[in-house]
Amino acid sequence: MSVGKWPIEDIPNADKVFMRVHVNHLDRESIIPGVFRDHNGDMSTDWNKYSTAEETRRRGRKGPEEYGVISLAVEQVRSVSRLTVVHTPLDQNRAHTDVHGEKDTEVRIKLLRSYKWEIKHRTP
Amino acid sequence: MVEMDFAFPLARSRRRQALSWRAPRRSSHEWLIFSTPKSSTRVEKGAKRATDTLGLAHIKEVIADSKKILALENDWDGEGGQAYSEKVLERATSFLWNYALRVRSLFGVAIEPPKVLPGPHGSIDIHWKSDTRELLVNVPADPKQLANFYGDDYGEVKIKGTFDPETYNLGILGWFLESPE
Repeated sequence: MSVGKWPIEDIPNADKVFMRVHVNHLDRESIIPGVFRDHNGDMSTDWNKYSTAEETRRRGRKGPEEYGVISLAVEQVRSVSRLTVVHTPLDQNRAHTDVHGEKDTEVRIKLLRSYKWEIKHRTP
Repeated sequence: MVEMDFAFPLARSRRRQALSWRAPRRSSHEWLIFSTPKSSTRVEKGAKRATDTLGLAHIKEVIADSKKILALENDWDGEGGQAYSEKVLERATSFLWNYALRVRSLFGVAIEPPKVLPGPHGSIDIHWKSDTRELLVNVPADPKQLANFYGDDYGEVKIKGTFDPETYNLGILGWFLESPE
């Protein structure tokens, strides 16, 4: 299936998705639970098939130095109740992937235990 | 798996009915208080009045420190995050303070200090984390919405639900107060 420029593909469980973390979502070296939230109904990530962590970092609206990047294993995200991981490519970002499902306190705690740092913020 | 999912406030009898699960017997100090000799404060009978008469100075510090959240402006996270209102922070910290007072009053101990953090969509998160327990309480920006919480022991024991932080201060505490033996 295709909507726009890129076809929509199935994302294998073995893959991972990248997500930007703004410096204001840090509490010392740890990220805070509030980082996992929806924009327009879904949480935006990038599929590692079509993006590197550095490319994800540079897609932020602010300067890349303000962002770190974490990764989430697709299988782990899908194991959290009610979450789905769906490829939603944008014309300007083939990697764009939505994590759909309510980010309530349970979901956010579980995601908080699942992430891995790909690019850490540079401490001043 | 031991799990409960219910909404606060519940009448005492209704809450008892909701507790059809069986949890391991737990001491009253075990859940949420994260009581350790180093950081918890037992209130001694007849203790002399001191500057911190309640033994909750650390909670006051957390509440005072949380005011920095109000300095976050719109788009503070580079993803369109909204600024925080004084009202929602007040609602969250009032709950925290009343909760700390209630635990102290009932058990004579001070709760461990949580982190008060900017949550999604103008809400406030209150986060407790220890080696054995983790609990996240979210107070929404909309005062008409109930707060919600989730906690577990990294294993089979879990609590989850909603409550009104303004009218039911006992809130989450009820979980272990009414644990069946």
